[in-house]
Amino acid sequence: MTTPLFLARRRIYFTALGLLLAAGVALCIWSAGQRVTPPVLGDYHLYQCDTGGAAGSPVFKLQLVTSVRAREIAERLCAAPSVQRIYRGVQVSWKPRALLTAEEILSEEYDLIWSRSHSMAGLVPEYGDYYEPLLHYDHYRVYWYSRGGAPQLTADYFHGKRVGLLNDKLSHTLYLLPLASLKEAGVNFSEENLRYFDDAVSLYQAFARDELDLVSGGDYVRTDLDIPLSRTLISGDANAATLFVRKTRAGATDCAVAEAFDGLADAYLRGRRVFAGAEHCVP
Amino acid sequence: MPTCGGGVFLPGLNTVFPDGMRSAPNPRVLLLAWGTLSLLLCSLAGWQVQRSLSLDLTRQLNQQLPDKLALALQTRLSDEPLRQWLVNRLEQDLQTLNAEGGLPLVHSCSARVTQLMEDGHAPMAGAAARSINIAWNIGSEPRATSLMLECHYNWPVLLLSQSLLALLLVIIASRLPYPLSKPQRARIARLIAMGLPASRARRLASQLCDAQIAWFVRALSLNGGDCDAALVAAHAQQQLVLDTASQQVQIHGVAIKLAKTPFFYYLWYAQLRQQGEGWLLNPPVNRPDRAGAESLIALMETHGGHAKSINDLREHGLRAKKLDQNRNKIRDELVSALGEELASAYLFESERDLKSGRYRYRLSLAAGQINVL
Repeated sequence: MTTPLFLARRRIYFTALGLLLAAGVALCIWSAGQRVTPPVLGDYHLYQCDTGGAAGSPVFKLQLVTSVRAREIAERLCAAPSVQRIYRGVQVSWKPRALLTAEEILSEEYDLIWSRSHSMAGLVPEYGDYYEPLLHYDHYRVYWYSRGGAPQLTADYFHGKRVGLLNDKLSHTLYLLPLASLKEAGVNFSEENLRYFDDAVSLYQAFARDELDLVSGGDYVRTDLDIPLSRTLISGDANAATLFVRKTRAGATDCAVAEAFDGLADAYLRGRRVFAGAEHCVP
Repeated sequence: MPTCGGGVFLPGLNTVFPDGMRSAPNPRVLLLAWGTLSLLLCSLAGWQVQRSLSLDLTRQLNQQLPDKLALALQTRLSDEPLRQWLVNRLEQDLQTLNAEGGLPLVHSCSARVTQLMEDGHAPMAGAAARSINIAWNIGSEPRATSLMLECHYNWPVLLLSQSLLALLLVIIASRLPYPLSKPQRARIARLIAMGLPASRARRLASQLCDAQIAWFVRALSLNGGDCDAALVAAHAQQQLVLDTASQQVQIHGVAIKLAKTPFFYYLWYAQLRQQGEGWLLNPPVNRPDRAGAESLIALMETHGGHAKSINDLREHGLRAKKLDQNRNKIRDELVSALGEELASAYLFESERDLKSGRYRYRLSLAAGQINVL
């Protein structure tokens, strides 16, 4: 069997070779394709440590507003003998506080919640039936921050300035206190350039990019942003936070929990123990 | 009698190529092609493994990771210890990724975090096959996370499968009909037009050069399709054989029958050429050459020439007119048998004699190319 003469052309020969190579490459690529078995990802807003307690015992759960020191607090609790006796582990969550739901309060999902009383009441008005305060943090200082000269609390100063606020009507630092400050200065909200953000990170990034002239915030703003700033105190005695604990808790751990948070009460937060028997804690 | 359709070969003439169109593929070339192609396909398969796994993992992570990262990282602007801890956790979760595919080319993979959180969406262009880019947001702020996939190949399966595929390709490629040049195809077409089977035509076309093909075609049309005889003619020397016994000429192996008298004139010129320069000056029109006629008459008498021609020569001597007539007859016979082109080398050349102003003639062939039997 001989091939027809017209097939013996060079062009056809090299075309056939090319097609053969292409088919080989296609087969190679097709056969080498792989799929990955779905990876199981953990929750990266949670940290859990083991106390070494009995296997069937519950886990002590905390809901904090910041990831800073969250894992350190969990570790301290895991190391506390009074916690080890009752709980097999300690789990700390630093999901955004806006994600805390009424259901979680009603079902007492968390043994400890870092929040403020008005936030709690906003979710569940009778939250006091389930939770009571353990620690108050006051003397929390909130400032106006500006990239230029120190902010002045007058209507003239604010006029024409781009002011960033958080779109969260329960936020002390980024909504309630700055609005109160503007009102006190006699600023007409409707006339001024108030910009609302869905989250604090976007707010501060916009400020860092010079898209805002003024933002409010605690002492942390200076360390987090790391740019030259001027500031003016809005309130030196804001209620930064309250730690709420379940009313039906095992009271034996109160002292250990309060101690675990001691480190947090550094230069700009003052913790005040408000639970029954606080005076009996071993210093 | 062997014919062209029969496919009978003369020993020694058609032994070079098994099927006449392709020189046998060089085993070393094939081995080299196999090795190169194996290497190429292995790299390609390795690249595709990483690319397909990266794409699939990107798709999987895009479903889960943005929410999880936003949840974990949005409470603070900067928390370096948290980031470090998160990188470790994420790498732990992506430590053992199992791949599944048509071929088990991979033992397992893992992903390394190269950039946990970067402002803006990282540019995807120019990314390596194994890089994974996840875009997500904190609120309205775009963020990008980059990971790098690292796989442990199942080398035996990878090498074996790709070298087998390469072997298959090389075998098929070696079976492809080898290309022929345009003149080669023209030669084959010419032979097929002569009525030769295609396979025979290809074989011959690869064995014979253009001049040989011309002789082959001419001989074949003269001998009524005797392929083997035509092949002998094709391979024959450039030689003129004059057989006095059968009064036949053989030109380049092709037998041509001439009329008696022209044959003797051809023989006479040939012998003159063998003896020296071979020039024969035409006698003047009014004075035939009686002495010159003697050797021709002797030649005719020895080998049984026409009595009429012999008598004519005796009576009138060697005349220019007769010489011209017979040279023309020879020329006509040869050209009608071989065609102008093939015949020309076996014909006469002429030049003007400066002294007499007449023409002289001789055979163009060299003395060594003439053989008188």
